Amino acid sequence: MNTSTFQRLQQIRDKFGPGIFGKIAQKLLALAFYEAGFHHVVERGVQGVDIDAATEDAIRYTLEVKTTEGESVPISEENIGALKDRAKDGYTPVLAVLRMQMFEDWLFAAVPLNRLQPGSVALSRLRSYRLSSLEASIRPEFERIVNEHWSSVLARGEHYLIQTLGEIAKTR
Amino acid sequence: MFELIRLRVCGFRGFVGEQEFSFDRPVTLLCGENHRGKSSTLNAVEWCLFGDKCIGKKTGIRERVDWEIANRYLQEGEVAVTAEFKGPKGTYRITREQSVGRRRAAQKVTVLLPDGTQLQGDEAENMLYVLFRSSFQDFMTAVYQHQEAIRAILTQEPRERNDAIDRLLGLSPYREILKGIIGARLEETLTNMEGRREDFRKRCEQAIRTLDNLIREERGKAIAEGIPEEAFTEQEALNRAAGIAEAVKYLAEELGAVDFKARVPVTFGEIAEFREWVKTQTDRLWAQAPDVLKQETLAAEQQKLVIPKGRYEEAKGAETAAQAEKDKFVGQFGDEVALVEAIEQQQREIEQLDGQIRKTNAKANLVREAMRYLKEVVPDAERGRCPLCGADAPRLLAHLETEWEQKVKSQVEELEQQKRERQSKLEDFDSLRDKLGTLERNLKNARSGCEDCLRAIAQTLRREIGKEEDPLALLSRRLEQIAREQESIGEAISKKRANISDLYDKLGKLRTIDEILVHQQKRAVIERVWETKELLELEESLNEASQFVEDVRALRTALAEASLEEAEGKIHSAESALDKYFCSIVKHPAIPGLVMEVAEDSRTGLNSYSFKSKDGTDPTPILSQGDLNCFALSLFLGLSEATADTQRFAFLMLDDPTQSLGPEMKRELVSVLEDIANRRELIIATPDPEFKSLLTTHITKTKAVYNFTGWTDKGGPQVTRTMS
Repeated sequence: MNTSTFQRLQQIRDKFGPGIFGKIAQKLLALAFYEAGFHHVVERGVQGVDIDAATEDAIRYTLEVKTTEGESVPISEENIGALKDRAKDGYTPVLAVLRMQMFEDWLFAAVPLNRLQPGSVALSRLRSYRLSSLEASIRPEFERIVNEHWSSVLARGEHYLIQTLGEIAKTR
Repeated sequence: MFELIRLRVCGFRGFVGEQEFSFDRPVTLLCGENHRGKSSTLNAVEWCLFGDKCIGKKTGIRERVDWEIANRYLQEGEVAVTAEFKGPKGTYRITREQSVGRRRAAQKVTVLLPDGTQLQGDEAENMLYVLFRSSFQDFMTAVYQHQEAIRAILTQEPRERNDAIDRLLGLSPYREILKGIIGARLEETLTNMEGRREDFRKRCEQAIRTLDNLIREERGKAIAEGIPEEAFTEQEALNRAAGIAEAVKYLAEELGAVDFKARVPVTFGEIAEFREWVKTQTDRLWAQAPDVLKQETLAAEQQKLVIPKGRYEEAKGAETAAQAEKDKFVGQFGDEVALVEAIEQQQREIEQLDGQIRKTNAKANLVREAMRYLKEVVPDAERGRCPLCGADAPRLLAHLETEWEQKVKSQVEELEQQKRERQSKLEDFDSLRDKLGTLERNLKNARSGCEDCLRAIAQTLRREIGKEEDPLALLSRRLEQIAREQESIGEAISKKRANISDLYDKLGKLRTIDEILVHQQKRAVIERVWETKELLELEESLNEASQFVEDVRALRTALAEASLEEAEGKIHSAESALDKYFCSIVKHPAIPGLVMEVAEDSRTGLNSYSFKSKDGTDPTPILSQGDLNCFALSLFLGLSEATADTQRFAFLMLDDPTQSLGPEMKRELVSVLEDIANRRELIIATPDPEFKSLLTTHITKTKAVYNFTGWTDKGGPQVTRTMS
């Protein structure tokens, strides 16, 4: 990720705190999926898996979104359960992790759910399950989305992105 | 099923010459003290069947790491072991040979089949597996009870005991691979790799932050200097550089430089060099400008004039002061002549006083001597007469004393007082004369200083200075001329200086823009590092390393599960026999039966074994060494019973099975062996005479007894055979 994009994200996190920032990052990621050509994107603010994304040619991902500053992310029993439920519907379960450090970017890992245990998962472990082509298509879109919506997000927060996502959903 | 019927050993471990053993009875006992060759006999069977597989670290047996095959006292020849088995189709002869003296010498294996077919090398090794369907681990588990297995079981250290039980169950390969995986510390290596990437990332981040701060500071400064935001581009920097180049050219013309060629940077990268060029050229043009040179010459001359003027003024002041001091002195004390006259006057007066003193002293001496004469020489009776004329002088002495006191003494004193006064005055005049001399010398020196300064002024002004001319006025006049010339040049120069100042101002702004842009370029380079082929390859390597670690982790889990499953299966299959044999041999009043359990060690993934009494209590605190030995034996016998249906070997080999066993246990063990002897050929090695006695008297099957009575390095074991 470009350092200026990272610095903009950092400003958002500094303003809203890590909790809200996680939700904002999730919504920005959902917008990036739209931009990358996924016609069906469902972003859940509360229960269940964070994002479902599908293309017209039946590529389907279900994403558990995590943001961290460290080198691991916590995975709960509920997270794994939710991914399993969506996997039953033909979605590829993916852990989407954004490490909030300069030069880092989104990491999409399709970890086999039978190898995923609740607890702390090291990012180095997720490397082996990376979806490189998905990363290559989403990362530039995410940067673009951040740079486009950054000032509005800073001004209006998560609510702005809920509205934006709602409007896009209506047009699809 | 294959029965062992004959064994021929030559040069193998404890054996030197050839020794043959016949296993033609259901039970064969190898008896004798330790180090007589009993274990070597059993090892020979094992080596003949499995060769290098029973040697080294991979066996899981510590004693096998540096195992010597050839007898160390043999100098040359072959190690050879031949084992004959009675099998389904007749006699099978297996021979394994190895040259003496070479630690890693190649082995030669020969299998002679009942039909006369002789196989060698890989064919022979393959045939061994086809015939016996047994790995070395299987052989250890169910055919050959090693001494080492017993020893390891007896240890109190859980890890070693777990190792030993795994070995007994034939699970050492799993254990060794798992230990190898753990020892490889792959996860730690991956963490270190990630750590180094993270260190690099942090260094880049630090550099970016430092550059961002510098850019922010420089921008703030630039904006304060009036540089607009839009000026921070390479094109703007080049435009400004072109403007500066024009200004330098104009300055050159103004300063009178001929043939001056201005340069203009074409690319942004040339700007730093251009800035240096501008500074150098501006300094050079300025230094070579005629006005500036003239100004410098005038300034130098001014400096030269100012110094002697000051010095002359100082010298003149000193002369005036010296003259004034001398004049004041002369006015007060007179000149040299007056002082000399006064000195001479004093000297004369002193001489006169000296004459008067001499006269007075002569009289005084006469009176004083007369008084002494009258007092010391003349008797008292004659003191009334004059000592010279004899005339009566009744009060002569009194008269003289009065004369001395009242006239002579006071006269002398007064004269001496006058003389002292005159001498004092003389000294004063001498001192004044010296002082006058000093003042005159001072005045002379001051005048000389003035003359030196005057010469220096004449030299500076490059002209003679007449006596009637005032050097100070001459100097002042020249200095005024210089000041006028300087004023005239200064006006011309200050205009040019203003141009240079403006040029420097522009150059300073260009430098600010240049520095900001250079910082931005450096920042961009650092960002680009993360898109370089090398960094992307590093990322890919980390991904692959992570994949490898993850695969190994999965492999480790699978191995641990397989090892656990196999251990559970073997324990389960041997469970009833184990319990039966253990209870039969141990007969422990507090242990109604023994249950063995296995679980995976969550930390290492290795099998961890535990025992439980059938009543659910933990027997460990009450298990003796003998009990543990019985447990090891029971497990081995249980496993061999459990595998009896599939086992190709029709014999069991037990090496020193009675370690730590008491008499009662030994008797019970013999009972168990009596039972087993009904189904399997037994080959038992023991140094224990009591156990031998029990075996010979209580085993009902016929027995062959090989007594290992001695051992020499030249001849090896001394073996005799008896029948029982």
